[in-house]
Amino acid sequence: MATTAPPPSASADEVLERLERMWQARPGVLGWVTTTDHKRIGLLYFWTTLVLFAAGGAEALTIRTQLIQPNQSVVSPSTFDELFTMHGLTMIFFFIIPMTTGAFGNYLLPLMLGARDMAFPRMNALSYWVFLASGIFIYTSLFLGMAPNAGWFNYVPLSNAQFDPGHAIDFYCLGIIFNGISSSLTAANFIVTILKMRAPGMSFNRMPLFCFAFLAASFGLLFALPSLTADTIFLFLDRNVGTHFFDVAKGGSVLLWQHLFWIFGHPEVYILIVPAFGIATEIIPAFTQRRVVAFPLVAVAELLVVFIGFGVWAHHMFATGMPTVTVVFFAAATAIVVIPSTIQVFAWCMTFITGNARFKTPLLFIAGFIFMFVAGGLTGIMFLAVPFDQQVTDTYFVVAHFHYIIFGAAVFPIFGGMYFWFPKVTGKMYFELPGQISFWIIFVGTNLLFFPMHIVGLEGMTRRVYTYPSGLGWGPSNLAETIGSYITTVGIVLLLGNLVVSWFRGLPAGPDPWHGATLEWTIPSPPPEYNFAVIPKVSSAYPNWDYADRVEDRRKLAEAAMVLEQGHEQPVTSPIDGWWAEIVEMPHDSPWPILLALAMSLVFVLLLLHLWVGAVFALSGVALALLGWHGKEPQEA
Amino acid sequence: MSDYIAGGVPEPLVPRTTEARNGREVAALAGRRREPSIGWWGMAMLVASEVTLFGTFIGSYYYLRFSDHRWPPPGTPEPRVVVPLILVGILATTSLTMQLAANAAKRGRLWATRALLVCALAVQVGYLVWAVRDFLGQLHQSTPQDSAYGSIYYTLLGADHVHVGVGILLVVWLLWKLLRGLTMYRLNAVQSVAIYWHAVNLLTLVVTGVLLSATI
Amino acid sequence: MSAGREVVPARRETLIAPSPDEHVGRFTLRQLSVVQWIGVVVAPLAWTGQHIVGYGVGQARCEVGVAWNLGFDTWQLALTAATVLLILLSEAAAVTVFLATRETNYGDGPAGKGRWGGRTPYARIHFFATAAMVANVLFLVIVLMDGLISTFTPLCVQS
Repeated sequence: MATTAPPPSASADEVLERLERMWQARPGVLGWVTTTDHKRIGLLYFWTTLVLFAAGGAEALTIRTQLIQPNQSVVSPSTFDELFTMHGLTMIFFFIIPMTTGAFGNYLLPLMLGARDMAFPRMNALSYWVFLASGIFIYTSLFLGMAPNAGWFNYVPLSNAQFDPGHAIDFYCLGIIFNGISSSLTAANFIVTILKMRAPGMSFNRMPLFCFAFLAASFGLLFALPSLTADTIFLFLDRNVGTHFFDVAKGGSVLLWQHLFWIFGHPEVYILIVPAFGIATEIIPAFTQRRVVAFPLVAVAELLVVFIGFGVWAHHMFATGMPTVTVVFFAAATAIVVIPSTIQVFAWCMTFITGNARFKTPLLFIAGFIFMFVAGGLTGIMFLAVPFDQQVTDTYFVVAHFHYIIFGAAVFPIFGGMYFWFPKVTGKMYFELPGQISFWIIFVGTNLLFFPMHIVGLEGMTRRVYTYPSGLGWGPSNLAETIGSYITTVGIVLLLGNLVVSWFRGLPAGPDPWHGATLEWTIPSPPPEYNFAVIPKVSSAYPNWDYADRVEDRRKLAEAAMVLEQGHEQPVTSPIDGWWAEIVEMPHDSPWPILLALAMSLVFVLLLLHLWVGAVFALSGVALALLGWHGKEPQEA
Repeated sequence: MSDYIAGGVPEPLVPRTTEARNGREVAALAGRRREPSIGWWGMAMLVASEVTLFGTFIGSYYYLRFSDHRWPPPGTPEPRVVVPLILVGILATTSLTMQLAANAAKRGRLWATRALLVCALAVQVGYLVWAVRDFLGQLHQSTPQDSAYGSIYYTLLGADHVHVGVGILLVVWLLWKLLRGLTMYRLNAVQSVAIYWHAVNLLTLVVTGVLLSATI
Repeated sequence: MSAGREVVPARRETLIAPSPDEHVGRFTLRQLSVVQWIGVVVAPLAWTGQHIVGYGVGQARCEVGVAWNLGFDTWQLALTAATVLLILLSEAAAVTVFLATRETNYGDGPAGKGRWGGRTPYARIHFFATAAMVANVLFLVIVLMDGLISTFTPLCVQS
């Protein structure tokens, strides 16, 4: 039976050439500024987040230098407040989320799903430009000397107009909402892509575990961000319009801020680590050459940890005097939310043990991740005991816990993932020995940095203190931590330096250096603009190990069958079982995403300056950009 | 060899749906399509996010209510019951007209779609004009700056009116797009805006109920 | 360019689903799919409701003393009982579907032997049923813990 019907005179070569021409990007800087290619957008996110990571790291190093010994004054107390606030905001909103979702997610999801691009390519570009704008917006506050300074969770009444006048908290409120728009758009894009743009035949249970993780994180973002948006809207109104959401004297509630914040904040921490779980769950099969043990349980665990994580928020508020009868709801859910993570850890360890482990650099980082995640998880469970929690709240014990989790469970897989997919993105292989050395330096450094925090926290050192007195015995631990921070920095510089040098001087890598399990290893390195020349055949969750399917794909390529080169074309499937529903024409490169991001930036700047009427008028710019965006329809392209 | 989806319905080919350029082609392809389009899914994601936002506002409303013995606080008038309920009931009928418009578009009937959208728009605009006049009138009696009750009341109600306003702009945009005929893209747009309006109508009903619950 | 340039997929299996009236044990495939979704969705939604209402009743009672003519304990016990019933229903559905689709795998490996191997939708249904069986137990434990403990703890004492 005939396949796609090319004109009678076209040969296989002509069909493939037409595909190449169809997907070719505009040359030069204009090509990057108008790009809708998920791979280019992923790279833009990658480089931008690295710059912001350096900023967050500089903030951390300054904090640690200030705390290296008692009674120092390297920076002033008010600067210190800005530093720890910006460090938290930067690392969470401007490093981990955009690196995992924006960089790894954007680059890899369509490849793993067998798609040619995201469901909404232009919205993808918009997410990046809005993210960049929000980063510039917030960092402008630092350069103007009015950075947010009430901690990353910004509790009222410290952050209200009476105690924090000026623009610092306005930067916080507006910057958070602006950044949240970028993440919400990304989340929506991921969900629709994962549900509708899979290769035909990839039913839900044949989806790679990486995609389950990103689906979970995307649902988390979509449903958690509105709570933070509402919270910051209320605070902005209280500060600038005179409302009383958080004003106890007029019937408001200070705890309302905390509830709304943590209804976002707790799912947020799962959003931070679940994509990293996804990265780990792809690295492990590649380096053990074994399918992951208990596949359906790992998949559901990724979804469950985010879902149950929506119900535990008040465990951040155990010291606020809530009645026990309400506290138990959160303690019970907190006790159970650890179990899906445990299921995953058991599954990964069993895969290690029963597989053929090759400890290349990516797998080293995953081993380090499991070690640190378990350590951080153990301290996490301790917090569900309310009496214990009330003793360690706001001490360095909490700081130790969440840095073990964030650094261990989010950053280590990110570093491992950078090495793992480096050959795919660049077509070159990184240098293995410096890679392994960078792992060990970072591992030693982070443990030296964060472990003593447990001790010093139990000894009573509180968070966010600008300095501490001598004679309490906290000096040696702080000294060790600061040394650990410098060691960690050396390791990270070595890691990034290795990648840069490998880019220029690494050996050619080929499409599949690791014999990985998923579809990105079936295409050339670096991937062509259209990803897949032939729509791939998928029979399981480990498609690159289904040799018969890959042989059939190569046969189709030789015949130029199933190429879909009549336009910018992509198959669309049903959400659950992956039945092929239709073929759609996708948008190409477009200037509208960056233009819309600029229009939105203007609105936020005018709100910051309290020019309310101007901001309303600037909304018309947003409307015009949206009209232009939807002006040309796909069939007219 | 005949490909078919079991059940005896002959369905041999995968359509290039974006290329339907008139009512007849749209009807032919849309009739066979069993799944909502990705445009519909995108709108569903926006709806999910906005519903959650309203959920947080409503949760805050009740949190503040159960932190405060007197609700509304003394000096603040209780909300009127009858007029808002009538208004909301009238607005809710636009869900019917919007859905009929989407169904007509799916069957390729351009003029029916336009007529139904205009009917819906008239009711929506009428509602918003009345609601905004009412809103401004209430501001003379009590303001958001009076108390936490006023703050949450006006924020919740104002947010709802903004969403109705955006919905009106979307319907106007649809009518402008449909001036040049029906394509698959425009069908997807009509279906997407229809679910936006179902969500907004449901939210308006719920928000009205929440604000009126202060009288209980 | 007309809408008629349609594509015949090279693989019929991506386009052809088994008939929804095909029998799998006592169920048709359509019924099996519905029962599978009940097993997946009912328990999480039941917990969500019990969590919000249970916390909300405690908040209302202990902040401003609102009682709605029903004792706090009665509320919590009734809520817990109803939720537990729903979760057990959900679990029964998941187990039933799991057992009915035993002769398939999860689709994470080679097609395999057995009546259906890794074929869609049987493998998908089995996958969801397995996941739901485990997840529902977790929700049951949460609900029993918080429902019973909130009932037997002294009312409105600060933690």
